[in-house]
Amino acid sequence: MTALPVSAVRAIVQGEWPGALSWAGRHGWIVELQVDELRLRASTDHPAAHRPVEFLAHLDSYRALPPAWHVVAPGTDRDAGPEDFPKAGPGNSIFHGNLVLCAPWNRLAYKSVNPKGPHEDWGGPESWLSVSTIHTTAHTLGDMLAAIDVFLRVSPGMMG
Amino acid sequence: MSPEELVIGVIVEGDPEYELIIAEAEGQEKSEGDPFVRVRVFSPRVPDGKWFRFRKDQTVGSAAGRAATEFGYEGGSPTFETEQKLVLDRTITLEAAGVRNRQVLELVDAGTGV
Repeated sequence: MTALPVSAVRAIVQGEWPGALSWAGRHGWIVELQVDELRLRASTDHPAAHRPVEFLAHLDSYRALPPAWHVVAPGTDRDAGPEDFPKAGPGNSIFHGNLVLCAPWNRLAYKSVNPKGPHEDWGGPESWLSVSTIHTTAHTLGDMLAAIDVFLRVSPGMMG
Repeated sequence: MSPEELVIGVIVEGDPEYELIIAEAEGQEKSEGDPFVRVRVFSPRVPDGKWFRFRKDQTVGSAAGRAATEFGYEGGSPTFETEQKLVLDRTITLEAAGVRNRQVLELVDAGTGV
């Protein structure tokens, strides 16, 4: 699997960060970039459940590989159980019943990386930038936050 | 100023309407016969928004695609989201979507989940 030097990843992430931070300010999200750990933590209130929902992205090897986006129990690094994982809204959603964000821009959506990942048909995470554009498309961290926000907005509540 | 003098797309310094738009000196809607709408578009990629001029009869998808290109996007299914968090239908015109002069819009992708 492709690896990028940490210094290169940091430069990429820091280049994208001002746009993502501004987006978060416009949309009421709290975002924190943990540069040393190459992690991004992002949280907001679930619009229907009126409870915090939190996301943690591991950014190692970004953008040779997409981030590994986890939905986590708020305030922790633990993967969310159904009670903290948003329910899918109408139509096709990124909020998958396997408790995975199912999108080409999530490394954990690929079965080759994650046994719970639903997809074997996208050519592997190295090909994330060229997956069909019928699907949700997000090529920067800010784009990914915006995409999560769009699907969260129509989520009717939490899964559990 | 005749419509023929105005071009579709990003409004930058030197544009005949630049001073009016940026300084917000006009402060009122253009006349009903005006075929254009001027909007401020933000993207999650950069902190600052950009002004664009579009035709009112242009589809949302066409206008959003133009804005997306200006912000460096390639591919995807760009559309606009209003400040009220309404994601606009890419297939209808800006006029049908109710887009107004000076409205603030955000670029989002309309691709489906999977």
